[in-house]
Amino acid sequence: MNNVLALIDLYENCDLGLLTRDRPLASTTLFGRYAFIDFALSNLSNSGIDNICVLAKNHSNSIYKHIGNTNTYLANPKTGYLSILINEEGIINPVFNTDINNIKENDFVLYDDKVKYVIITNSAFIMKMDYKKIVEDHIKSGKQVSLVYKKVEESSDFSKCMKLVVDNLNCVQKIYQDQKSSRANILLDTMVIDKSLLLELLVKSSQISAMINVESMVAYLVNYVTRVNAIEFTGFVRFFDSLEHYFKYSLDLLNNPKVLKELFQDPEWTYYTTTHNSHPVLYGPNANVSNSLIANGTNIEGTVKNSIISRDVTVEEGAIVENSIIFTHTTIKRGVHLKNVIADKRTIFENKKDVYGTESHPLYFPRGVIV
Amino acid sequence: MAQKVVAMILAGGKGTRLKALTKKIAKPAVHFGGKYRIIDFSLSNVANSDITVCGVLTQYESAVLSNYVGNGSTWGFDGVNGKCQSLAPHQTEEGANWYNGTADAIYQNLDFLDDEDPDYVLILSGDHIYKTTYNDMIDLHISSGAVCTISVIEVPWEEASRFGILEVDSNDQITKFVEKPKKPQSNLASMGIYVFSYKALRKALVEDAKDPNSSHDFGSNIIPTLLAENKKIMAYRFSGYWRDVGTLDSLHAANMELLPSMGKEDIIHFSEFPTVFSEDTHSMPQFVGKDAIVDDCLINQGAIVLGQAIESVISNEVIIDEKAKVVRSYVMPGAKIGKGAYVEKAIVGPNAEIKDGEVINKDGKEVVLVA
Repeated sequence: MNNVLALIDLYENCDLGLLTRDRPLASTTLFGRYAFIDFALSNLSNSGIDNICVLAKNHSNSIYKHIGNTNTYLANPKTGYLSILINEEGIINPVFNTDINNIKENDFVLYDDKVKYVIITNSAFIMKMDYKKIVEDHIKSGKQVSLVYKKVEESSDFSKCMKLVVDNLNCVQKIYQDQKSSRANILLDTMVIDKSLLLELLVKSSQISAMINVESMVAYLVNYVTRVNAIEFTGFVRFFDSLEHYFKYSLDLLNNPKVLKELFQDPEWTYYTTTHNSHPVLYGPNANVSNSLIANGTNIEGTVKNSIISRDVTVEEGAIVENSIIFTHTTIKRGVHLKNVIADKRTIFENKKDVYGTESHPLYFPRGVIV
Repeated sequence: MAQKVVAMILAGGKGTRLKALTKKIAKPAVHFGGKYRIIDFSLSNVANSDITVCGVLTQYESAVLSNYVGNGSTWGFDGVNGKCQSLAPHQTEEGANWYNGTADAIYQNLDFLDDEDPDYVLILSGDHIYKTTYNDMIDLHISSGAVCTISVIEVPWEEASRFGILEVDSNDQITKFVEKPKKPQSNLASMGIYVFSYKALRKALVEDAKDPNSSHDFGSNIIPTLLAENKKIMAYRFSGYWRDVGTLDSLHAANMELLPSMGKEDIIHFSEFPTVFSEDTHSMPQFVGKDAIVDDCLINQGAIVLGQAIESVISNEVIIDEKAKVVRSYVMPGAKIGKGAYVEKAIVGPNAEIKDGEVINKDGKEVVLVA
């Protein structure tokens, strides 16, 4: 699909508390081996979309570090490209660091004559989305813009999201936000827009105060410009909007073999990520491990239960890790018992023996601390 | 200016004694250690010796191996001055020939070497398991002024008659080479690793090619001829972990040596220098189920263990289903162990399927192959 350009918009309105204090959500560790952005990038790649730009808001070093070799995600890195776009003016003047300004500053990516359609998506929704199908539905609709939504019976897990009223002709009647828990159509912050319309809007944007970012542009489109097509997405979706949700959704995966299978065992739909030279996991003779996801390079001599363990972690003999998420290069020494803990990279647990959070309020330990 | 060394890896062997495992792939491409293939070890050793140009001589079932070697990016041979090329027998002006012996394989690729114009050529076998760098050996070769240096390892006297045995003087200069002697006079075995000064090698190969009675083998022809010509050949003493995995028994035993309880420190730390590089699969982290038992194992990412894995090496994408039990076995990628099945002391080939309830090798006396 070389007539499609995808923008992964990292100006997303959600953070995971302390976890995303020094890094963007996009490069935050997920499910032991991945970063959030791997899902959007892999979905695009699997959909045959090879022109991808990442609109980075801040902490872009972390994004560069993760994406590094762009060949990881592209079918053909010569005919396609993966660029990380930065709004340099926005660095000096954060008020103007918006996704719209980022696109405007880097609008050369829109000059490619082959590109007719632009996908704007994000990294906070974890879903298995076939963008090819979305673009096809968009073209079939004859509309200039399509928004992608998910119908839910109960919207409390999506309280920070925009919601749509969709009529029986699949057009968006209204776009709104509320805190109510009810049946709703959740906007997945994913849209397809004709490039010609996007270019028009970018020219206008400096004059229209109601259009300061992509989110407000969407509202402006629905309310004033054109009839907007709505495309329903029916697959698995999780929206990561808080540290508590991050903890809950991650560990939920361990008890949901159906989703594990849907996400990770489809030979036609691979999730790509940076690769490492870590060895396979070593389980010592006294290791005791159950219901856990464990990444390579880890050495386990102790007990691990209901947990997600990232790369190159050490769990010494006599240590217990329970209901916890452990990031790379962390060490849990003999005699330490972790329960409901999120341990960031290169943390060492050795002095305090019992480290307990609760299921609803996990304890978070930042990168590199010694506990 | 630094001296240029080019590595040539002999990887054409059929490995008949590995039976069905090498039915469709060459021995160097056989899986090892959950994540690796046998040739990863030689190629990584070359990379870790700062040698950037490498030829891989393939013959038997070269397709899988050539595909795996690719442009050598897995081992970093795709850098600015890097090159890694699969060299299968090819048609020339003089006709088309298979490689008739190890020396003939190099002789037929003199064009490749002439293009590179090396000072020294390192010749290796692609089917040994060990971690090293060749720098000390090359330094010894250069400082001694020898035409050839052979890496040797002390083997138990009772096994010496299975190897090519070298006799040396007090300076470790080689005085005699005997292939598989009935009454060995030394226990220094050739490891099939040679450093040659290129000019001397070129001359020896050209002369050997003219000899209709030669079997064109380094051990049987080139080395004895050089010794007969009173050329200086040095022995380089290697110590440490080194295994030939040419039989099912030795392949199984070498895999079992990777288990944490074996304490083989000089091989098991694959990710420490000299790092063993390998292609990292795009698999999810491994999943260990609620009722799983994992003791003393090495398990690669992408594996799913719902039953029991005891003293075993388990590769990526292997499924050990509920109530299945795998004991003292090496399970290659993609194999499925059905519900309630029992497997002991086995090598389970890639993508092999063991049916629900099936029992393999209950008495566990001999190593069995399921492929």
